[in-house]
Amino acid sequence: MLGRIWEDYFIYLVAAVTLAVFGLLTPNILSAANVVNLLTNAATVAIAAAGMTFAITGGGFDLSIGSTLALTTCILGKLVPRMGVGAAFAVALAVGAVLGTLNGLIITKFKIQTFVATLSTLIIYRGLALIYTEGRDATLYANLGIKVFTSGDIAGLPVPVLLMAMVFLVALGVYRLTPFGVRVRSIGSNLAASRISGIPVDQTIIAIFVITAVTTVISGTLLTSQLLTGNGRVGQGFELEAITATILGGTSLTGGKGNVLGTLVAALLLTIIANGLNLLGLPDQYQRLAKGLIFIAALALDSLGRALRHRRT
Amino acid sequence: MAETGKPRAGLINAREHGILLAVLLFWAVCAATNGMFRDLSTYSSILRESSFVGVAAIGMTFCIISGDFDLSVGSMLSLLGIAVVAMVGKTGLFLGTLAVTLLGALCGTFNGLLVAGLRIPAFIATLAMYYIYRALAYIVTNGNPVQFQEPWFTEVGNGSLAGVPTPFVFFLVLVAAGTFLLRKTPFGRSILAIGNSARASQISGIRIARVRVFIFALVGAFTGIAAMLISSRMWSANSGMKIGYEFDVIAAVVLGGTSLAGGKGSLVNTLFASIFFASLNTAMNMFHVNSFMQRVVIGIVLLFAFSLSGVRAFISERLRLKRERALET
Amino acid sequence: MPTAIDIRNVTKTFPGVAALTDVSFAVRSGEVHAVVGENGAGKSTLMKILGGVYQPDRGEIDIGGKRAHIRSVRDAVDHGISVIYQEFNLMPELTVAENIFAADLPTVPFLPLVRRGHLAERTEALLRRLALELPPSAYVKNLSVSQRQMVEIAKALHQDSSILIMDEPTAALTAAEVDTLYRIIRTLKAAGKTILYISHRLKEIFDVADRVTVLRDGRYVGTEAVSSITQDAVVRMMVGRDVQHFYPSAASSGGEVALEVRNLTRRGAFEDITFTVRKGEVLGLAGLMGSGREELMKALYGLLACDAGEILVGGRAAGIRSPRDAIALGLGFVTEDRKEAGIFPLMSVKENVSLNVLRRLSGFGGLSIDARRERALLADYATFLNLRYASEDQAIMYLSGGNQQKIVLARALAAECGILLLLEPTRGIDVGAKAEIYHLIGELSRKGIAIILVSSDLPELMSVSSRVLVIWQGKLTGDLGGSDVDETTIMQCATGSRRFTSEKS
Repeated sequence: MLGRIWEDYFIYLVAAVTLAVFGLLTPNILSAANVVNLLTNAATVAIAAAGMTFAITGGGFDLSIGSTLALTTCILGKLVPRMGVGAAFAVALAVGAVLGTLNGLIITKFKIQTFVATLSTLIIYRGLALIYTEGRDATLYANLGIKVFTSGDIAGLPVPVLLMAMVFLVALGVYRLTPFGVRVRSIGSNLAASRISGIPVDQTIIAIFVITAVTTVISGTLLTSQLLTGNGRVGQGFELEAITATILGGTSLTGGKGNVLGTLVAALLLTIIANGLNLLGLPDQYQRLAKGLIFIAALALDSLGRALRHRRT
Repeated sequence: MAETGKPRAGLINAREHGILLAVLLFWAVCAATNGMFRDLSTYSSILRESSFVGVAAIGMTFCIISGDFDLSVGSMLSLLGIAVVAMVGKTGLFLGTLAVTLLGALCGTFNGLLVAGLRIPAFIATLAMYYIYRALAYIVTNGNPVQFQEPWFTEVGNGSLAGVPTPFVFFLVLVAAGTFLLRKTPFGRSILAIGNSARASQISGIRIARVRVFIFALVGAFTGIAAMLISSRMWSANSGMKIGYEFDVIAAVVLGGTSLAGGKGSLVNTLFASIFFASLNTAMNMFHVNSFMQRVVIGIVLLFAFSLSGVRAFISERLRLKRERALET
Repeated sequence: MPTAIDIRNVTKTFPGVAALTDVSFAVRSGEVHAVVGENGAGKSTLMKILGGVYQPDRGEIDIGGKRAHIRSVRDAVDHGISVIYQEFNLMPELTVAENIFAADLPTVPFLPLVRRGHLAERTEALLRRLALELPPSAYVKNLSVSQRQMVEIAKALHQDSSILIMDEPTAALTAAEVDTLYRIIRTLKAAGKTILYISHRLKEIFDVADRVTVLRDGRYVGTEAVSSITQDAVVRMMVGRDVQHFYPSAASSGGEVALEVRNLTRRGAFEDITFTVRKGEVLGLAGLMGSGREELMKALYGLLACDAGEILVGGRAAGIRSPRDAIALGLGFVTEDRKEAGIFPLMSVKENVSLNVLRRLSGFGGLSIDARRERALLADYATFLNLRYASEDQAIMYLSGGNQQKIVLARALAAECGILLLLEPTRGIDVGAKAEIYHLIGELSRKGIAIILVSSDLPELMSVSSRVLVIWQGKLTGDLGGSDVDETTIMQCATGSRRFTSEKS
């Protein structure tokens, strides 16, 4: 029992400690303005990580979201000037859904493991993005309505933060309350048994990858709004950031057990670290190093915790 | 798989070395349709290219056979490439090779200690190191590329020995050594054993943790040699080099028929798979395929290969099951 | 009585193997029908055909009097058939309720929201029908084997299956849990269900079945009412010959002390265990499941650590902290979980045998394995153990269970072991191979090897062992030799109601 509590809430502890440490080092970090800043920055990775949580709970990974992210920025970059934000966003969503369905079909019809399937589509989708923009940037000069996704706010709360809250609310609801959530956990726990139990496994898998793609499109929109450019080369390593947030948040790597709120907290934690290091004046490259080291330290602690609980010798 | 599991007679048969046939077939088609493929220098170039990914893929093959994998090899490569470029002027070729191999083994050992010592799942641990090694590379060079002054060093990546591209000579020798290690030494058997059954290996007295750490060290060592070859070829090294390299390496191993579930594999097939990828890339260049389209083609080829080489859903099930068991022992 | 299942001329062939040939028999509605046969007899294939996993090449199957084409697992369920396999089809990370209702969770009208309260109620109702106390919100991964089995049965009940097929259901159950299973089977039978029961344990067949069908080499041998046939007769049908000396007589003890255990303790597993084993002796360890026998064996081999006490090998104190230490001292270990902890599935027969002794087979300072010596090693054991395989390079996973187990034994023996620890060595192996292994145990003991044997099959244990130790709740309650070895005494000691020590001869 204690073990389960530790597993679920471990990340909150780590986040609290980290925040406390940075709070001591740079009191600025806890100012209202900075907190809002934090949440806004976290939104991009957090939203995609919400989708990734479903993928990993279902026993697989979507390694292609970095490329989907890039493709989203390219689509928005090229179409927003022509048809406005709303329509361009709709197109991006549609394309995302198609890419996600494609991932799902490749995995279920060709019977390829998710890891290698999305490894391949990672390459294909990025190629598509680059072909679409011919390798060039698609910069937005006019129609900066898209900036609402960065600097706009509704009732005082920034749009990215609201979006993040909405996405996670929906994700949590779907995970805990719907049959779909049970089905995702089921196939992540035992794929063969789920099939035998009559669960529509293939459909569920395709749905999962549509979810990861759609959340990534939302993230991509936030990103485009920040960069004001569409580029086929962005997002390299993005999938790993999303996976990092998901695993750090307590979702089991082996599938069957997800932690939606944990993902949110972990994404915030990663942003806190980046933000804190920024405020400490640490240059960019040290941030990546620090992120990696903290990641390992957290995992090592978690591992030791697990080892202590399962006394072997 | 053959239903009775009996190995088919003959030195080369379709099942065991399908990738070789794929390579030959591909070459035949290219030679028939493009004049450049009737020129020996093209093949020399292909063999050269195949070595840059292939050498690291040797180490990765051991790793995947034993049931692990290492996502940090690209980042390790950048760090080791920088190291070798900085060193080679002072150490010369022989010592330089030794040094970068040992350095690579050191990095690999660190990875191995995380995975086998601290029991962090390989996927996650090497994911973290993926960030960390590259960050270190960036810090050490301040983001600038490093170049070497010694012209003889370029011979390693760009030269040839008796008509065979030097990197490929390295590749062949290392494949031979690796195959001997895998098939004829007790250590090699323990690699296979661990990939087959962690619990049975434990009962047989195999020191699993030790072997796994050593395997990661091997991955690092081979990556070090690859780093040397690549840096020599590129006349420089930098912290942003070969992003995504780990995926190329893993793809070569899996395309060669080594299953991600572990327990079985062949270095010779990894060799052929590396050659296949190099052939594909070369062919696409020769046929003037749009460089972005090339990516799409590679991705599709990978999909095709994966669906054929038996990496299927139920194997992933077995993979996870085995990881869970291995984590418990 | 109406017929639940009518099997006619069913034939199924795999490449190189005729799994079933022209099998025909009928299962009556509402009966408990046992199917027995050696490994390779075809029972498992037949069950998989009924379960929709395989399709027959020829023949027909009628369910409830109507022609049935069972082409998938869902088809089988639609026809009212539920199969409970040895490896359960459960999702460990889901709750009991979620497992049972996985495909049709009760939802709020018009919205995709699960009605958790309703789900719990319906689950409890199902479990009540089986008189089971299981919390519906318990995660399956925290349940015992017996409890998981109950969840499987509840699933079958929920699917309203009229036919339940159970494949070796008691393989991992304690005696008490087996009784629970019998009770449930009787409940199901009273509710009009038909039960097909596959088991190697003839005693159980005679406890719970109405009729028994025997298959041999893929062919139908016969069906008899359990009340009108004896165990021996069934065995004869299964094996096709009179099995003489079904259990070989136990070897006599004597010889110097090979292994001595003093006050061995491991918190939570066993306490203050003291005994000796001599060369050539076969020491049986009896006890109920969970009594600590398995932990004791693992501790002797270095797989588990002890908190107190010592182990002496050949008269000298041995600090056995790992299997490596154990092997160096001449101990060998064969476990019951062949698939996960015994064989190296993708490696060849030859490689499976030689793994523990590679250094001995290598030249160049232990670096290069000598292929000839490796082959010779295999050849030696192939003869001694009567191994059957197509080629020495064949992957071991394709061999029968009995042959696999013998190869695991060969691996342990190859390291010149003087003390052999056998943990349920004949589990999941057909009668013919079992007899071979008992015979081998006898021969090994005659060669002077000390053997400690743990087996849940009491008759087997009693006749193979020269002495029997009994463990109850981690404590040694019985040390029986010679004529003192009888089932009653052993069970008394095993349940803690008696302590008994034989006079040392």
